[in-house]
Amino acid sequence: MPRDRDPLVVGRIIGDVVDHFTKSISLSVNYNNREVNNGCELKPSQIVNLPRVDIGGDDLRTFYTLVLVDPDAPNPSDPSLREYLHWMVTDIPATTGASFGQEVMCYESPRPSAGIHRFVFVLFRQLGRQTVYPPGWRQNFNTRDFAELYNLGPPVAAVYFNSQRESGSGGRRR
Amino acid sequence: MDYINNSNNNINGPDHRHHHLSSSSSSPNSSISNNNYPSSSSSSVTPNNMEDQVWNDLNLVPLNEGLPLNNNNNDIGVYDFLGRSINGNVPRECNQMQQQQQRHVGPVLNLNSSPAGVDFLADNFDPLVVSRNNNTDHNLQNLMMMIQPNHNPMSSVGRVPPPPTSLDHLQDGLMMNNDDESSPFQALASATRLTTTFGRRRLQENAAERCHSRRMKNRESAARSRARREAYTNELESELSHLLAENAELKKQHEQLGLVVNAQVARRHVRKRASTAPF
Repeated sequence: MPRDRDPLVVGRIIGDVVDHFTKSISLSVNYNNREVNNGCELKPSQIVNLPRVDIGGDDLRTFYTLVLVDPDAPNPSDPSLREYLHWMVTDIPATTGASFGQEVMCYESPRPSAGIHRFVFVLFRQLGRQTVYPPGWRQNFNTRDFAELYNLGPPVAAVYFNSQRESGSGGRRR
Repeated sequence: MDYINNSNNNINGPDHRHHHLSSSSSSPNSSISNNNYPSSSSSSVTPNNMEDQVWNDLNLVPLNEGLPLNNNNNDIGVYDFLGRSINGNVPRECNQMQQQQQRHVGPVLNLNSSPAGVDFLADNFDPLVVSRNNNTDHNLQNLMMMIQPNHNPMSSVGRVPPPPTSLDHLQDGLMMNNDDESSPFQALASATRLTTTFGRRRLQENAAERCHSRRMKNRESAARSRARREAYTNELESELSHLLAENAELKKQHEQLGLVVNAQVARRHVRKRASTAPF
């Protein structure tokens, strides 16, 4: 797909959260057997529990880190807490899933209160096992800096969805 | 609407030193005509208009030269204008600005009826685009700098002082003319009236800023919505093409497998027939 039509670019994920990268590993995220496509809309009630994450790759000895961040916290017009870290799993062996890794930051159910938030899953390849540590707090997480800190390099895969308040109807308070 | 009618009368006067909202008689651009403001109240003045009016009037008639006005109606026009503005339209600013903004960009700043004003319009000048920063004094300065070069007919009247950057300068300038009977500033207002005007003006400036920032936020939000929709559409399209290809591939495989199965079944039948015993 040409670069400017990539949903990750159009949705400003590439730009706000990560830089341009080439997808090399398959990443499939399922909430209650519903697969997450880029830009699809999910309600907070649908994303209360851990999703099922399956990754590709070929070598079981390669480990991956997965993060779930909200770049629009607390409000897309004023993202002062960008990005809010909802979940971090490290040491995921290739071809397996998140349940095989180490959940170093437990899954916090997204509960957007204002506006329509993007929630981004980003997958990184680790250099080795047990080389990645979580930050001390969830807000103001910076995915780029995090990757640089632990030598994760560019992301290998990413997918995102949108979510708003359960009773929301569009992005504006009425 | 009285004010507007007044300005209509004055436009044809010989001396255009005072600038009013452009009327249909002067501008070729029909969208600026009074007909476009059916719902505007007694004053279609916006905060920008009012401050610009005052600045313009003050700048174009030099402070120290008390040039007599031929047309008394002009004074009254401006006077009424100020009086009206003092009675205030603060809560209605935003709506009016929004209305005007929707219709046409120019009228918000279109102050004179001379051809210079028309050029000003033709520049497709968007006051909101130019003056993005929140410092309204700076805004005002920007606006003045944009407006002034166009005031060719007026600058010949006298020296045009640079726009003051603070209200104090203006106040000083006005104070100097208190004893000059024929000074237009005498006609403008008494000092006390102007003080209230400036106090109100601050409020109106703040309201204008708020409108401005709200509008910018709305634009950004709209842009995000469009991006969101486009991203999802692109994703669906790519999913679709991917799935169609997969589907075609699978169908082909299915067909091939079907042929293989049929062949095997046929062979089995043949084999079976061969295993009959003689008894």
